[in-house]
Amino acid sequence: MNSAKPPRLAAWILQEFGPELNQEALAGDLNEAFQQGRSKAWYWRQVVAAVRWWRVLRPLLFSVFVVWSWTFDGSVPTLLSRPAHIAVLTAAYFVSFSTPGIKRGRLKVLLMLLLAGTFGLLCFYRPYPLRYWIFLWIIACNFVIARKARRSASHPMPLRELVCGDQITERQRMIARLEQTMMEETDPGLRQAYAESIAALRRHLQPGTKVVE
Amino acid sequence: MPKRSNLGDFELMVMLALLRLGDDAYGVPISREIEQQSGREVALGSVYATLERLEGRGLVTSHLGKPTAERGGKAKRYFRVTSNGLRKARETRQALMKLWRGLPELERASS
Repeated sequence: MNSAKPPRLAAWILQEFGPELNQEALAGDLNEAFQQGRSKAWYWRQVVAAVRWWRVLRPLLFSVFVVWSWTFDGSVPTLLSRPAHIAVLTAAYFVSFSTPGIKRGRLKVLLMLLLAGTFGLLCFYRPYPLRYWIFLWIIACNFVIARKARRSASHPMPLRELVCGDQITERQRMIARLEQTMMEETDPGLRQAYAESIAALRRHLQPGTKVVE
Repeated sequence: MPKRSNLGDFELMVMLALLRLGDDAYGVPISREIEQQSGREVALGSVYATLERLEGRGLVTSHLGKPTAERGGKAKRYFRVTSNGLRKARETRQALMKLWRGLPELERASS
């Protein structure tokens, strides 16, 4: 038995960028295997293999775009001459954009007020060019705003849908196929299992979408 | 020709592991069974990706178990092979056996 906890960063990466459909079962399996004596290196290997890289690529590309457009002052050589500066800003934006955000109401309001106050002070004293402070303030706000609300507002279409087709339609087809197989099945146990699979798939459909008959 | 009529290499391994495990088939034992029988490390993410695909084709079905403390409060997902899945596994075996027969190089190596 392994009494230590699994690597927190790896668990977070799996939660944020792992598979959508069986994420909970996979995370539980990794925890169980880790408790039974698997090493941290094994846990990391499993997480790296399970990550859906398009889910990392989307916020990363978005961060690169935001940082470059924000810091671009009309001269590409100037932009390229500060790679560390750009990398730090991109990494900060990426992490802030990918984290879940704070869901507790009071804490969120308090932090928003604190951020607004800091921003006001920075505007007043201006120790650095104002646009950098505005950018850092946006990063801080990203940490505070709950991710789900922001995602639905700014990313109505995931990159995968753009490249590989509509996942919702694919799931609707999957449900239709499973329903067909369930009708043909005679074993009541299997029929029940089919019904549970269909219910699980339906839960992953966006609200308001109709199932293809 | 029907699209994707037979099972792939890893799909067949996962199906056979499910059949061997019976009612106790969820991620950890499935990957352990494949590791023991094939002698190679298996990524749990690949196992789940394969199971999702098989479930989408109606060859496998699943249901959620109860969450336990050992798993950090996460529920297990149990998988079962359907009658369609059994038929597909038999068809794949027959296709492989037909290809296998009459190859002296392979027969010498196995004897």
